[in-house]
Amino acid sequence: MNQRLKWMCFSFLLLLTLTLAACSGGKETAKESNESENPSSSDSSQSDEPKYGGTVTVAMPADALTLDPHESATYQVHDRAGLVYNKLVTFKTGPDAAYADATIVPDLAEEWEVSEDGKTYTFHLREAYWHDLPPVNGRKVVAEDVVATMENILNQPGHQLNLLDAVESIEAPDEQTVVFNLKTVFAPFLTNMASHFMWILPKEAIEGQINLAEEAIGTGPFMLEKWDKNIKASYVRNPNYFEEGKPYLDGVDIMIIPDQAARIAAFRTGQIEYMSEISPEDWENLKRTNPDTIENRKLYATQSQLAMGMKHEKFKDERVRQAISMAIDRQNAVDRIYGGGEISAPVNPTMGDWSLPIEEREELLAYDPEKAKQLLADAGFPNGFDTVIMTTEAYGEELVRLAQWVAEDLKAIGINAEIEVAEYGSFIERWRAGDFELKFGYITRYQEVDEWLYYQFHTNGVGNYFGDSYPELDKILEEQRVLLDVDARKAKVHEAQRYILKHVLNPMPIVTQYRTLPIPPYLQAWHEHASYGYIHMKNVWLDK
Amino acid sequence: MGEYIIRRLLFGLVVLLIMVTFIFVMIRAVPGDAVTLQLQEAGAASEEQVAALQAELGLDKNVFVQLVDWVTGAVQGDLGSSFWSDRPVVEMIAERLPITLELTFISVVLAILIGIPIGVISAVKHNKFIDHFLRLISVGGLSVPNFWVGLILLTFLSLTFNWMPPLSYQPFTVDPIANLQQMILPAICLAMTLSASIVRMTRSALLEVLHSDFIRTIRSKGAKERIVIYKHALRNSLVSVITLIGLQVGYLLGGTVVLESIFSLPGLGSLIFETVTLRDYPVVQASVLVFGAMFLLVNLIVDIMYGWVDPRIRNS
Repeated sequence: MNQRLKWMCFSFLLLLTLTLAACSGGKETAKESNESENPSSSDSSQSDEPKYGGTVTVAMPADALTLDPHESATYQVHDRAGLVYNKLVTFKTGPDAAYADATIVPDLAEEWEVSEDGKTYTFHLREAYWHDLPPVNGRKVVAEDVVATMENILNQPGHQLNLLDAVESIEAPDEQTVVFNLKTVFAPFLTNMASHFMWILPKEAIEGQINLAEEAIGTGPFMLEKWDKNIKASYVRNPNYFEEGKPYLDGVDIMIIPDQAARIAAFRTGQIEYMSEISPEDWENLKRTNPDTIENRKLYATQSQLAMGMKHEKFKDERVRQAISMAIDRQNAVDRIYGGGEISAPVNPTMGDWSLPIEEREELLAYDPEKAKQLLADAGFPNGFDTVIMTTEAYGEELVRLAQWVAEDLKAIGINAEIEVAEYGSFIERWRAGDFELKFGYITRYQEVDEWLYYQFHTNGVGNYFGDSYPELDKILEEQRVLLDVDARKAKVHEAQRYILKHVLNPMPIVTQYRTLPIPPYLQAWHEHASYGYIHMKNVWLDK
Repeated sequence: MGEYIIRRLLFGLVVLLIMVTFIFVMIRAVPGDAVTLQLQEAGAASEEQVAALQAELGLDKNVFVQLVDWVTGAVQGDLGSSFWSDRPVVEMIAERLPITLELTFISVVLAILIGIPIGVISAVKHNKFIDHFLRLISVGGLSVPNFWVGLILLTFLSLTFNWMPPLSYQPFTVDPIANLQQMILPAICLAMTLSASIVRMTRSALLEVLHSDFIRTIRSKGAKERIVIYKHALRNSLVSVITLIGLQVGYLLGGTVVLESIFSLPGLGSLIFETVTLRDYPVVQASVLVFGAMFLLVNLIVDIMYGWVDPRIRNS
């Protein structure tokens, strides 16, 4: 009996070993044979006629807490809002558009004019209809809807309000025309109208006839069919969408999968098509098992930043700030930790030529530990000093690794920086309270140059939490706001960035990394945009 | 017996009150609150907006005033509303509790089905190879964290068999097969630790009983080994195993917090996981209260079961 059991155990273990060996061996060969086909299948811009049908399933780590786009600014709310709602104008997407393309194209407004003094914007609405659901029952979109939406935004706190800063009044002279009167000339206005905060809602919703928290009735390519909270939201094709023949998909599902390993497993087994970014290590593994997956690598629409607590005397010395900036080997860090990226600037590189040219960024933020040491000594810290970098794991482990990299670089010039990983809630609270020496994190994905600059660096900027004040810079930032000529404004924007980098003002840009957002090969016309709302979804189709 | 149950229930209420007070104060002591987080989501905010939101959520009051308000409401069955979605907490919990109950139930059954037979084999084959082997496995089961096994299982199944449980949660009443597919992996992970403890407890309790005088007497009467073990020895060792299960249910409930998140099960565990990050105090407090009540209830049932298993306790 005992003998038999022993044998059984032994053979079981043997079998297990053999099976595992066989599995991994099989995989190896499969990978090699498929890798050669990879380049051809990863070309997503096929010229085939789009096919109708099918559903795209998107996985999100957490569900939206409300569907009301005026109530919340989270991506969970605004990404799905874009399936259902439209804006007056939107950003360009498509094979010839950049990921964060700033080109403004018509959405609900067919065309628009700007008055000569630059203070009046007139939008002409296209013929569009609300979803065929009560209480709007497919009625025509009118100018009053736009006015009601904007007034609702003006009556609520939050980021949306700041985007309408310059607006004095909004009028609807006729059913199809909306006029925005501005207090001053305001160059960012049109881009702000394309921001993902500017979804146009039916006036019935503002009047309280629609429960915006639970319902979503708009003009968009998809209609909300069912929302099982924390499980799944199902959207179906809107047959009356204003772009003839679109969308191609029967529907879009948003599935809640809190765990990253579970999301990757779901992607691997073909249960989801999209899941936002994965780490370089996860991509390596995914490529091995699903060799025809498309990497879909994009420069991140935000950046890592190091903020200095300016109430601490040492950071008030410009030489100390310069030393810190010079001590960091940015390019090497982003290559090693994220598998690639760029040295950043106050305006994120995704903003195209509004950001400083890459050569200039590399020069202004060059790695020079020797000079950094010298500057530190000049500032009266020949032996460096002790400090703490506060960061959080809430944005993924890579950010913590980057913080560790920064700490190591600082150690090399004598600054002994300890890493403190704070839980997200504490991180935000301490950030807002200014309770840190150094703070390392990402910033909101701003859509407009003005948000990157004025919000963060102007004395009255809403993102300048500690009221750091640089009157010279304030002047440049105010000037760029009123320049309607693109080239002139761009020059001012560059001037402001040079000023910020020269004086190493708060917050210090570190790097903008590449993110891998894998998609399956049959997902066609997936030309996503850096703003929220899946505004490319109307063009997406499945080739299977 | 009736008086005993009432006394235990009253004692349980006191425990719950202490626990809720503790959680109530502790979660407010952690930096960051729903006001900061909500205004962070909505971009920057002014002092007035912060104050207005604090007043709206009742966070401007003294913490003990808040506690008294909340307990008063809770006694009347009103656990407040979520700070974020504004939904009544009772409704949110009612939606999610059945999932956690089902998961816990399946895990306990699974753990008993695995744990007791293995424990018996281990005891009967005391110090033989198979005993050492099974003990090794049970030590492994105790030492390996269950969420890690969950991640490995998910990755392994998707890699090797290109399979993972159906994604969108299906209640048992709607689609029992999909439901069980979704439940089985997290249940295995949860049952793993519990069954390992059951194995060890069954083994040692059974060994002790097997060496006692009355077993020798029964054996000398010529009873069959099977009868000796199952009818006499095992029954007498079950009291300690049942105690263990009652105590371990607490760990099991704790395990659901992470495992439900890994396996996308919208249960009470993942509700705590989500709402702690959001500092949604009313939901966290109420969920912990429910978890605590479940734990106390299970242990009360265990105490009552003693009487059923052991007539000596029943009669005393």
